[in-house]
Amino acid sequence: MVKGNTIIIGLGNPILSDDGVGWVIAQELAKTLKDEFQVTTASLAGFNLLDLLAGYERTFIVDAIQTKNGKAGDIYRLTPEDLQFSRRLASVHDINLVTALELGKTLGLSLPKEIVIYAIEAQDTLTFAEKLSPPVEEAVPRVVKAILEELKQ
Amino acid sequence: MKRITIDPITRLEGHGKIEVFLDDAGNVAKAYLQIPELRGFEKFCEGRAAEEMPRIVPRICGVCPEAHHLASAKALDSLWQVDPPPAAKKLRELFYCAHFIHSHIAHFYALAAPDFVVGPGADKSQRNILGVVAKVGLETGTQVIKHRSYAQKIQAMIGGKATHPVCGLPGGMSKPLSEEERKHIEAMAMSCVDFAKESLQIFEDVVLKNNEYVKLILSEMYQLAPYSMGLVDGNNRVNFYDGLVRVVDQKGQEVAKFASHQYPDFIAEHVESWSYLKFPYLKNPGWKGIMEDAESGILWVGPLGRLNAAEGMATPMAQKAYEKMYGALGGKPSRATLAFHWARLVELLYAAERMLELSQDPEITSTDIRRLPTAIPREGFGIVEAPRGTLYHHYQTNEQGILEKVNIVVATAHNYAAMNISVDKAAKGLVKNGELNQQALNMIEMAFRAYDPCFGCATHTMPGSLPVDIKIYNSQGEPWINLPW
Repeated sequence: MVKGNTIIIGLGNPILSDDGVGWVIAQELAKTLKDEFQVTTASLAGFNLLDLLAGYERTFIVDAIQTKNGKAGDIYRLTPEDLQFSRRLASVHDINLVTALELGKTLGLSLPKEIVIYAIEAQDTLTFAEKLSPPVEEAVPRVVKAILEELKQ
Repeated sequence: MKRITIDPITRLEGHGKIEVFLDDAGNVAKAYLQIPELRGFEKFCEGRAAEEMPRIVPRICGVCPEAHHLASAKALDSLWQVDPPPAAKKLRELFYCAHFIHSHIAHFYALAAPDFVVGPGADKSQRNILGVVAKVGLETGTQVIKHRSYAQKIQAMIGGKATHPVCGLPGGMSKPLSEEERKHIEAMAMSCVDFAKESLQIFEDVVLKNNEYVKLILSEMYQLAPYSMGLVDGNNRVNFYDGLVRVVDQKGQEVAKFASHQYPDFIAEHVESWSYLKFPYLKNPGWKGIMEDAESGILWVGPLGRLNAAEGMATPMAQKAYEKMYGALGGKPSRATLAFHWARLVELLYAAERMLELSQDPEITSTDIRRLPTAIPREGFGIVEAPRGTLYHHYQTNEQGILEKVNIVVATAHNYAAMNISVDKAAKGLVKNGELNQQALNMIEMAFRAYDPCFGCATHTMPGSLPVDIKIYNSQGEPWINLPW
C-alpha cells in the first residue's frame, strides 16, 4: 500500500537497547503524520531494504550508529554520498545500503531520488532490553522535529 | 546538528577479532577467532509467557529470524506436547523452503561469488556483487533480485511478514493458505527451480572450469575433517525442517542419531577463557581441544555439514547435483571448506524443488492447521536447520507456561571450533618470516565466510565491511601489528 511518494523507515532491533532508536522515532512520527506519509519499522538491511524503498520518490531512514569518539545522543544527517566509502559488498551476510542502491540502479529498479539518513549515536547496542539509554532517549524528540520540518519543505 | 567526519565507522564492541600469534621465526604459531556475543537474551526471556517466544526470538538478530521462529514454534509444540496437523507441518516447511531460497541466493551471489567470479586476489573494492553482475551480466543480476523477492513474497504470504514472521503457534499455524495464494506460489516455485539450476550452471562454468579455483578448493589450507551434523528424514536424506539429527564421522560412518529432546545427551558445551561464545562438541568422543580428528568431538554444520551427514537429497534434480558434487570432490564426506558454497547451491535446488512439490500437495490448502494445546507445560525442545546449520531451542517453564530457563545454541556456535581451525590454517599464509602478505587477508576471510557465520545482530552494521579485526602478536606476546579489516 503506497501512501504518497515518501516513506520513512525506522531501522534497528527493538529489543536491543539503543539499537531500537530508529523504531521509537518512526513510531513517534507515525502518531503525528497519520495517513499523509508511509511510516514503517524494520530490522532489515541490504537486499530487503531495496524492496522497501522501491517505488518511492523520497525516503528517510532512521537508524542507530556507532562512530569512533562519538557521543551518545549525537545526531547525524547523512545522504548515501556520505557513505560512499562503505561501497563494498562482501559484508558478513548482506550487502550494505550504498551497494544495494547501486545494484538497484544498475538493474534499473525504480528507486527514490532523495534519500536522507538520520543516524543517532548509540551507547549500548549489545544488551537485550526494551529501553533506550538516557542520552539517546533525549535525542528522540529532536530527530522527530527535524524530520517533520524537512517533510514540510 | 553535527556534520559527520567519516573516520571508519564501526560497531566498537561488535567486532569479531582474530588474534594471530607468531613464533620466533616470524611465522604463525596459532590464530584464534573471537566472536562477540549479544548480552542477556536468555535473561530477557525469563519471566515471559512461553507463547511469546516465536515472536521474540526472531529479534535475536536480523540474519535468520525465520529459523528462530520455527525452532521456537517446534519447541512450543514440544512444551505443550501437541503434534501439529500434517497440513500445518507442510505449511511450515513450505515457508521454510522459501527462507532457504532467500538466504542461499543472497549468500552465494553477494558474498561467495565475488571471490570466485571477480577473483580471490582482486582488490576488495572490486570484489562485490556489482563486480559479479558486471561479469555474469545484467540479466543474471535481474534474476537474482527477482527470485530473492519471490522467496520474500512467499514468506510474507505464509508468515504474515516477510521477515520476523508471526505464523507459528504451539500446535500449528495461524492461517491457512488460499487456493489463489497456492497457485501464485506454485508459479514462483517453478521459476525458482529454473533459477537454481542456472545458479549451479554458473558455478560450473565460472568456478569448476577454472583450474585455479578448483586447486584452491582442494588446497590443504582449506581442508578440515571434523564430524558432520545435520537433520535427516526417515531415509537419511537432508531435511531443513524436521527429522532426526544425524552425525557422521570423518569416514562418513553414522556415530549418532537423535531427536531434539535428546540433544543434551549427545552435545555438550565447552568454555574457553578467551571467548564469550561457548564451543558445542560431541560428548562421545568428547572435548580434546580445538583439533580436527576423530579424537576430538568437533563438528561442522551448515550446507556441507548437512550434505555430509545425509545420504542424499529427497528431490530428483538436487540428488543428481549432490552426486555430481561428491564425484568431483573425491567422495564423501568432503573435507573442503570452500565446497560449502557448492553444497549451498545443491540445497538451493532442493529447496526450490521441495517448495514446488509442497505447493502442489493437495493438503497444503487444508484448513486443519491447528491442534489446541491442552497439556500442562514443563519443558520443550525444538531443532531446525538454519541456512547456516543446526539450531537448537530449549525452554523450561512453570505450570502456567512462564519461562524459567531458556537455552539457545545457534549454528555459528556449532561451527565455532571448526571455524577456528579454518582461520588458523588460512592465517598460516598471512605472515611468513615476519613479512605480511596482504592477499592472505582475503584468504582468511574466505576461510570463515564459507561457513556464513553470524556475528550477532548484523542487521545494520555499517559500513558494511566485515566486522573483524586482526591483531598479530610477536613471539614475546607483544602486539606487532593491528589490521583493521
